[in-house]
Amino acid sequence: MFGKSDDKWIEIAFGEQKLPENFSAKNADDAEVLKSYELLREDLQLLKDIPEMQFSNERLRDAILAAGPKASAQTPWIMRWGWAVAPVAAMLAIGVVFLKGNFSGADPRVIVPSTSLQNSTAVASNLEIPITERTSGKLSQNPLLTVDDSGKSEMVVVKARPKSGTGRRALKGGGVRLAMASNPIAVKKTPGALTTSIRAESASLSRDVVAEGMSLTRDSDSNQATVAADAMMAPAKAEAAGNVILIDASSDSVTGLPNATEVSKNSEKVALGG
Amino acid sequence: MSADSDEVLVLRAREGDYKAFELLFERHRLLVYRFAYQMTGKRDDAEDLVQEAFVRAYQNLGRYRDEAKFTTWLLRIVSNLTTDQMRTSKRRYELEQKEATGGLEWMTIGSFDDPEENLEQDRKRNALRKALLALPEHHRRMIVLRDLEEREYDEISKLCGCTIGGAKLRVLRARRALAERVKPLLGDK
Repeated sequence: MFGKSDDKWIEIAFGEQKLPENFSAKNADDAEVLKSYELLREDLQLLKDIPEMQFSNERLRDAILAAGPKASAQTPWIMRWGWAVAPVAAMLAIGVVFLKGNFSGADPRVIVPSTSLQNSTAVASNLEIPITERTSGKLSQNPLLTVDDSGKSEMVVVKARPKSGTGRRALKGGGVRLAMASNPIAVKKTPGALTTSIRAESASLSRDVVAEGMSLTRDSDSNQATVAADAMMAPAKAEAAGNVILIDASSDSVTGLPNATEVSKNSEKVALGG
Repeated sequence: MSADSDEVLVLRAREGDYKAFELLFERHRLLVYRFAYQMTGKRDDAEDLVQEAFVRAYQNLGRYRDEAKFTTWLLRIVSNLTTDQMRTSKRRYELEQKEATGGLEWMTIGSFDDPEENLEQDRKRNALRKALLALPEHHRRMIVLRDLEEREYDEISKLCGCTIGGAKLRVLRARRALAERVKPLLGDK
């Protein structure tokens, strides 16, 4: 009797829709439904009679005085500005995580100071043992050291990002941490005599290590010298002794590798870092 | 905007003029009381709601925005208060229990405190009142606003936070629900 189909009769009974002109009482059910809703509307009018309110101004005043002024909402600043601060904080956190990852990963870097190599001697300083993959005997993207035919070199900074720690070794001992690549690094050079004093400093912050026993090998095909860092070669020893290794451009007749000699830091052959 | 319009009185009350707020109270307390009474069915409860509604209105005058009528804002406050009260009302729980277990017999039988209970009109009124109070609160609010307080649909829509069409639909459903509940009463006729 009171279903959704009655909606039309409800609206008519409550005066929100007009009775269709062609409506007739021939349908007894419809007429009965409509009549019942009209009665309901009439009966509802009875509910408009309500007991008189006994609520005085004094009672309201007392209630307001008792309640007092509403305490201003003291929302903490984090609630008010948190929505703005949160993304920034998240970005910072992500940035810190990435940066820290780079630091701990000892972002490989080779810095060769610009210097005149009049005597065909290249001095490499602040050589950080790179953590990089070997790229088929050369670092195509990042030349380490270029020496033109006039014998002048440029400062070259090489940054090679390690790929998921491949080829990375970390040696710890005696308070020295040396991160180095298991694969050799490549130093590009022009033909000619080249004596390089290599001072290696680990990328570990504020910890300098002179990598001793690094051999400079020459790739005759690609005309590149390759510095092979061997983790097993007592890297701190040369530093303790205050020596550096001079690598001569002349090759050994048997091995084809450049000759290297260990000299004191104070040697006049050492142009920088001595 | 006349000097004694609701908006002006609100502005004055915001600035600390309590007389202005008393004027607002005098002007609208019956409206609030009627709504509260129809929702609760008890004078004491309704008066408590009136008190709480005006206290809250006074405390939150700073939040009142002119886009809604003051009465609409006031009715929204008391409507929210009623909803809160219903949630914790033991009486509501009892009514629901009655409804669940005994159907609607209690509407047409039983004793009435009213001394004129033998009169048909009073019996009908009481029955209707109980049927109304037994409605879910959202249906009851629609019946009270539209059929008892005769508020316009646009005001109802603002009160309910819906469209005018949505308000009409809610009222329709509420009427249908009420008709279902008073069916035994209508049958008696």
